[in-house]
Amino acid sequence: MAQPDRPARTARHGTTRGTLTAGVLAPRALLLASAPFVIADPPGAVFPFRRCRVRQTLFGWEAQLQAFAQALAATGREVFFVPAPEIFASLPSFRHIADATGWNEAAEIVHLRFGPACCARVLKTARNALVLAETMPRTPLTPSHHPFARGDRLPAATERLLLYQPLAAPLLRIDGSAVPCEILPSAFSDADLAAAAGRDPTAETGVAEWLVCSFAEFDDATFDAGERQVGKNAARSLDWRGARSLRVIARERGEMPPVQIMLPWNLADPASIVPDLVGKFAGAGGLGPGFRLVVFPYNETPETSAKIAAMIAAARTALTLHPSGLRHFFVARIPRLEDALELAEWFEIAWLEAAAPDRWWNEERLAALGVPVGVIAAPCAGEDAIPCLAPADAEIMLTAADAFGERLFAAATLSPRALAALLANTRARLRPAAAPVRRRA
Amino acid sequence: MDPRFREIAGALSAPGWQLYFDVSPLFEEHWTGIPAVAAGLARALLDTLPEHVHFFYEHHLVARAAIEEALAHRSGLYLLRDFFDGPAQAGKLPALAARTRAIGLYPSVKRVSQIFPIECSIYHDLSTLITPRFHLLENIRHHQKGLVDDLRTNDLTFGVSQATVDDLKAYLGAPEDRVFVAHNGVSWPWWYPIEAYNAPTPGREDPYFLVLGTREPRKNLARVFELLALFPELLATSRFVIAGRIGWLGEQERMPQVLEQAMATGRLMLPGYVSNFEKYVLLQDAIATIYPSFFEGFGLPVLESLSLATPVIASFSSALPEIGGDACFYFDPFSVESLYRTLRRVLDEAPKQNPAYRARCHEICARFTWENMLLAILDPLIARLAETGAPARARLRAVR
Repeated sequence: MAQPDRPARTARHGTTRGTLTAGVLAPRALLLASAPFVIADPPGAVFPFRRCRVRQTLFGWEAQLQAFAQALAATGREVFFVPAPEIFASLPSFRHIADATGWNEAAEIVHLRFGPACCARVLKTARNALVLAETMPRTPLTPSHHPFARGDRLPAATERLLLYQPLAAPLLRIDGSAVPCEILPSAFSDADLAAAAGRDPTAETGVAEWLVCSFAEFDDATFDAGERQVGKNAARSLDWRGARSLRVIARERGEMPPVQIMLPWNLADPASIVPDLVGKFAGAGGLGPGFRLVVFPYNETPETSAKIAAMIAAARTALTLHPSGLRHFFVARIPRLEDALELAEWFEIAWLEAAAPDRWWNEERLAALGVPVGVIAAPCAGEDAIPCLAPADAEIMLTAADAFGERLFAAATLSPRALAALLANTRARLRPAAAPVRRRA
Repeated sequence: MDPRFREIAGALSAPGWQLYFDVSPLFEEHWTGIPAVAAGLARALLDTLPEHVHFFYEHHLVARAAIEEALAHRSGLYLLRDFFDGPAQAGKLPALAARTRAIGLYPSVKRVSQIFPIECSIYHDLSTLITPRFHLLENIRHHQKGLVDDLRTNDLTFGVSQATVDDLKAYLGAPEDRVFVAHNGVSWPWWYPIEAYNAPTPGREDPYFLVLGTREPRKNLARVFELLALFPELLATSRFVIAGRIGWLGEQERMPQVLEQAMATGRLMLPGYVSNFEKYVLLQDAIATIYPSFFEGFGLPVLESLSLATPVIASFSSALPEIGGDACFYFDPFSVESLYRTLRRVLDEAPKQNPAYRARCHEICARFTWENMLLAILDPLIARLAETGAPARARLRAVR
């Protein structure tokens, strides 16, 4: 599973390929990590990350932290999670860190922050590094009073950037000074997948335990509580079981099964076009019998999770007269990493938004799982145009009203006409579904 | 009065400097948190520098008598009415040309800025920036309006704790030589002890723990509810009083159904907002107060409790240990077990009965007075004035 290290890239914006051990990950340092997601009932203010149960193991901050921790675990290092780094400011709080982690006060503390630049936090007195999967910020058209709303500035105490990929534009501290950058080795983005592939297969249930349901079946409360009762929920989606059975039977008959498409959706990206695309498909009467679209929302927080229900409600409204069309749209989470290894068996392709800030990370994860990727809605003009399944042919204005202020974004998207071409191009790109990663191994 | 105030008055008088104090926080009806700090500073200014202080709201002067009256009532209810109806107004601020020796002192976010040649403001915390999940969007926007701009337009900036100053530096890059700590103070009217002693308070013998603060998610009341739900034997031996006005996002702090019985039998009480005097009495008689907050720029109730030698079981979060020092009993705000262990320790040790503990509380609180807070503001300010008299005039020309 592990891939060769990334090829050396042109050093841009102060990016270096320094060794991590010489940087923030000094061998004796205590590693504390934090991210914008909210852990339900955390056991304390500091605890080993391995005790966290994440919602979405494949994409987003949770997955990034999981892969990072696994890469370090391979070298015998433990990463501790701090749900609220801001609370540590005084002696009693640092004493608690020592009690919870066995930290020797002579060693330094390194705080690794995951998530987008606009949500960066620091742990005072620690060395602070931001681990960033986003290569470019979504820049709003409107100004904001929030000092970090544009995503191009970092807190003054950010000491270093750990990147998966060089940035498209430099990230500066709020005082305008440059932040030293370092590119992470590829193990930091797929070590968890490699470890999961190596686990004892007899421990498997044989049934994929992801949380999945169709737009017709979706219930906000059940989906939200899903990760706590994932085993039960997984088997209860009749529509998903139907889709799976259809594939098995079609293969037995030598027929082409409906094309199943993954669509990762970064809920923290205010200019994501996923709701727009789903809305347009629904408005056009659905996907048709030959396609199934499974949306994988990630980066869920109490502030962003309502977007899932809103998108599905809009699709339901659009398909009031054709409710059966809702059975072709699904929403899913993968809380157990082992289940992610089966994805290539169930999906012919994954569509990735060209302008998604973390598209590169998702591409790499999906490639590691053997799921082919098709980029959609790339800007068509210019030398840097990305080869894609359907180039953008429309623009929408998206608004966001949140802690960063009221912001307006322009996003390149696909018209209904381009969506028809997208479906046709996707079918043209088809190949027989791959065997699951574990079997190939 | 501290003799240093005479020196400060002298330093202000010679070049003719005048202090203009923004009273906008005093328009609140109930003075807790920031309005309480603004009131403490206003009182200290009136007592120590009466010749040099003026009060203003946006571009208007506010009558000193109206401020005195509001301070006596400990409420801005009538001040607000009288200001907008007219009687509390004392005309416009002096014309720009006559403002060359004016210092704007803002106890919180600046409603209008860059109207004085020298401006200073106080940051109470960066909670809306660092922990926006605990706030309503309108509150976040109100505070963010001045978050960076106030810092930029201030000659000096003050944080109410070292933790807040460190946040200003760590997040906003506040320059080391222009940001200072000015700790809040604590004081009670002199007649409170007498009135409390004579007040008929049936049931005083029944011991209780007090939780004091606005009911909002940052205050982490859910942890206290969890404690009582998981360890109901605590309710058998002690009552729990949770006092404070209803704030926002209350659904996150909803009381579990299992505690309704305790409410019905009076073992758990939620009296809502309590007056300053009621708060005094509640604090004085409690076994201990519990302050489980996730994030505080200062934590005024901690100091209020210690000022009456009532032990505090506080979360070890942000500024709280800086204020409570070794007189508080700290716990992990994410762990109900940690809270339980700490509470049991307080019950076992009964520190309130220990004269050495009471003496320590008084020793700690003696440092936190409104006069000391004012000195912490005026000392660097006077030093700054000595350096920048001429540039200030130039800046006013730029403002014009």
